[in-house]
Amino acid sequence: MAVWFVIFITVVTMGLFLYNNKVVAENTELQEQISVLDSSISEIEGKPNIQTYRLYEKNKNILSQFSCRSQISTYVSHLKNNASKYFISAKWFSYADWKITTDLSASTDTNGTSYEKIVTFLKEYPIGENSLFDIEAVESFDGFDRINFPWSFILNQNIYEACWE
Amino acid sequence: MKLAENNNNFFSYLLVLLGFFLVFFITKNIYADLQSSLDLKQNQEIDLQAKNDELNSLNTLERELEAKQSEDISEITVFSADVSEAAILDYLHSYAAAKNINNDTIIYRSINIVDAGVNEIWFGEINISISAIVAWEKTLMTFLDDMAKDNSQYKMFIRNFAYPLNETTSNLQVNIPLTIYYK
Repeated sequence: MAVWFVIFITVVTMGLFLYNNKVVAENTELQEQISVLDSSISEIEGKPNIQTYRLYEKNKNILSQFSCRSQISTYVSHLKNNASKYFISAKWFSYADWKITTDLSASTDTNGTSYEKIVTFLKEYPIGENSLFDIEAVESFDGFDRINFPWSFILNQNIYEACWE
Repeated sequence: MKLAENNNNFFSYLLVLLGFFLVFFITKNIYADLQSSLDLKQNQEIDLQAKNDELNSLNTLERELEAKQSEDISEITVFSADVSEAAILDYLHSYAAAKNINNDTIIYRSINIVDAGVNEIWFGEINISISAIVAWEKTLMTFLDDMAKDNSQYKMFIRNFAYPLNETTSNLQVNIPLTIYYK
């Protein structure tokens, strides 16, 4: 019985040893295959058009945002259309970092008094459906019949987020 | 007779002891090595499959790019445009020459081209500062749209811009900052 026990242990041990050797050999072969694949991948990834594509894919959203940011004519038209809608004149257009700054003025004439035009504009523009920008607080109004005021507005959060899609 | 039986028992105990010795000092180690090898094999098979998939997708992408079938090919070709000073100057003046035929004039007073090197998102960046006189505000807006449009020769962006509004009766003198991204 003891002899059979030792024979059994020896056979099992030999079997495990041989199986382990086979698995180790397979692992070496797998490692070689992975190395070959790695070098093939590196070779393709090193090609300029693939590099450009990868970089473009990685930064697609940022580039889309920059394109959106570059739509100067859209923002100029928006400013001019809204200024004329409320009978206000815009003298200057300055745009940087999603923010437009301008000098607006309104005069008393047949379309209304200067302050009425400005009040209507300040009340209606922020809640307008087509408003692209959020207005910042206006700190000073100069004049009476002709009121001048500097104005800053930042691209609306919804529009800004749409640029990222 | 009893002595022979005692010898047999002793020999049996010795064999059992040898069996346990084999189990604890040899079989156990080989089994542990085998487990480790099998784990490594499993991980390497997963790794190999992942690398195969990656290589296949790269090969497919390369074929598409070479065959110009990808939807994004037009998006990336703009990054490979010639960004030498000569090419940029040619592009800007060719644009102006085409406009000027129709009296929709744009006259460059100066063009400064500065290579700003690689930017934070790993594209090459060239900053162009144009001082120009344009006939109309509409001409200016068209110029800005054409420079920044997606299917332009270059990938250009306009980060900031300023000009006097409502100067419709005379020529506009403006400074136009443009940024080219390239790879």
